[in-house]
Amino acid sequence: MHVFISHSRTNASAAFRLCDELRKRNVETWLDVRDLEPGAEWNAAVSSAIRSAAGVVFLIGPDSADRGQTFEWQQVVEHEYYLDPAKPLIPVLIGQPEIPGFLRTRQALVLGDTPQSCEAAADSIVVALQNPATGVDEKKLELGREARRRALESFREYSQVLGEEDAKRAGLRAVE
Amino acid sequence: MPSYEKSVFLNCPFDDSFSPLFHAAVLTIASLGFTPRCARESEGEADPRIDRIARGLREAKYSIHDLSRFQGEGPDNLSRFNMPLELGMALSNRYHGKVSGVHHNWVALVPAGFVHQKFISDLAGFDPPSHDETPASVVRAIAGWLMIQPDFTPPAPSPRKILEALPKLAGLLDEARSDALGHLTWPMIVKSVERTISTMGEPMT
Repeated sequence: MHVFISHSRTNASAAFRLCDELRKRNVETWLDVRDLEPGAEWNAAVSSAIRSAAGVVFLIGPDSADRGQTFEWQQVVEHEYYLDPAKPLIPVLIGQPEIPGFLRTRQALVLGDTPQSCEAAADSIVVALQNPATGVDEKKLELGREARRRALESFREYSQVLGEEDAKRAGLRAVE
Repeated sequence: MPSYEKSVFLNCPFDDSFSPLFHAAVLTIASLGFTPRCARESEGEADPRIDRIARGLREAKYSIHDLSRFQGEGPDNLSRFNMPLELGMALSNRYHGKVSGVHHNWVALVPAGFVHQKFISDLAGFDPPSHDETPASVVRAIAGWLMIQPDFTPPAPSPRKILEALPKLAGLLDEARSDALGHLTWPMIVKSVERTISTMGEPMT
């Protein structure tokens, strides 16, 4: 079983460094630029590698995700891999990036540009892979639930306002 | 009014044959904690339709543009260009937002099979999600895009849960249509979606 490393081209060197550190810890990784078979169709190969992965590490940098990384994120969401409690999703942040929404409640690691930082991140990934149940940050999840309640309340208000306007229009039409 | 960050403007056909996909899209957007907006919101206002769409796009941080209808229709075999025109307005908002700081993000939903590369090749490089004109594929495409946006906040129902709720929504819409003597207004659709979501239960993750 391998860990899928999701990264954008601008973070490729960080991805290679992290893979090296994980290999030292006996963690097998799958990186498209290294593991794609010659002639393989990229989308299908990536999709298959995510499906068969024991977990996914998301390297997220300050630049926007490129096409490849966006596709990888969409695969995780559309095929609902994020719901598999045995498949840890581990965001690894470089700098202060904007985190894709579906990862907001996950425990995130930080990757600096020193070898020590990379070693520490690899250690934490190994721990996270061994304890998939600890991957969700309960405080953030509770904040998320609160945000959801507010969002649904706002939607109800919107629905109510629309209904009132509709009734007014119907009344005006009746008068006309 | 709904907040800018949580508003998603939906730009798609509104005719009867598309309505199952339209309703699936509206349910998906609302289930994920966003507020669906569309040109039907301002039906009955005196402003021209294009003005109302421009306003709707300005009030929404996100927009979804369905480009699945690209073939000629009717006796003259003409295709309709409203959707690409309105996608262009969203693109303009996005580029302008990079200067003004008011961010807008858009996605085009294209037909399955990469045929869009022939009729709108300027989208090459964006890898737009596709659907095969089934509600399931529309739900997955929209959820796959919205859930990776920074303004999406978990927990929310999964695409599968949203799909499972579609028959409930269809039943409520049938009731509303029947009560309104056949004419389903936008407020009725929103109300039915709101009632459907209230039966979906608390999402876990």
